[in-house]
Amino acid sequence: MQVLANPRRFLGLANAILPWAWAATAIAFAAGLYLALVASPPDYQQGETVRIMYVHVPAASLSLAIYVLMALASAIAIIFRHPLADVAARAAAPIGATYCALALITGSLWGKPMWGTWWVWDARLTSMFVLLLLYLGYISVWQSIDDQRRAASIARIVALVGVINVPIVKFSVEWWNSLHQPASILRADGPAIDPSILWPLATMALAYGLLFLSLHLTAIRNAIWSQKLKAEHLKGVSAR
Amino acid sequence: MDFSSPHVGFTLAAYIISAAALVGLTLSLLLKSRKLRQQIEERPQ
Repeated sequence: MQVLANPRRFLGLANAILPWAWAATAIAFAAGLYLALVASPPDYQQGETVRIMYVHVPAASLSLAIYVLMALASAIAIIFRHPLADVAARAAAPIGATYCALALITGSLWGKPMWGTWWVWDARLTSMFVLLLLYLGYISVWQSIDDQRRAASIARIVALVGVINVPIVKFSVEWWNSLHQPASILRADGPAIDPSILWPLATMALAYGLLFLSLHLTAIRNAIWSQKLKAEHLKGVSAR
Repeated sequence: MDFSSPHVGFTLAAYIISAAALVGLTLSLLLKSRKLRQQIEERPQ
């Protein structure tokens, strides 16, 4: 981990990984969309609406995983003072927020034909909405406080306190009565869905994961370049 | 995919919105990356 503490070394690694990551993302999306829209059958009850699951579930799962990553990076920033930890957490937030918003929107588009309503304030939907608010709160802390050290301190607290919501989202369907169906993939006794649906779902989840990797590395590289340009600009101003 | 089945519009909307958001996010980051790379390369050494 300390190997990546040097931004120059990180940039070298990111530049080497990114072309492969983007290529893998494109291939995974091509395969995932083919399986999701062409090869997989309609559900006997949900019909074609089941295909919404292939974009809804990966977006929802990744939005939870990205928040955990932000909390871990924030903890590393506090404990080890790793110079790139805050940068990594901050770069992940807009991507996680987009995934979370997409999970809510696509879930709503599935809910209207299947449940008869766009939205209900049940435990799963409400806790996912709270996750979106946490993402937006985290982003707004960085954008609204000029002193970056102070912003980092508050953002770390938001990330670490907010991560309590992640198990609430995950187990909300077991702890409370919910309109949302219980877990059907990550279960103690294995996935409860047919392989004809599981494979497109797994491929789309891989595509969403690879897209996050590509976007995250690009965003961290952008942040390092921005800081470098800003530092050089300030150095130039103070030298005059 | 059967485009004449009921509720297919909801499915299409989910894919179109997801694609628009993810492509938009990707483009915004890549364009920013290109702009920053140009600034880095053009700066006086």
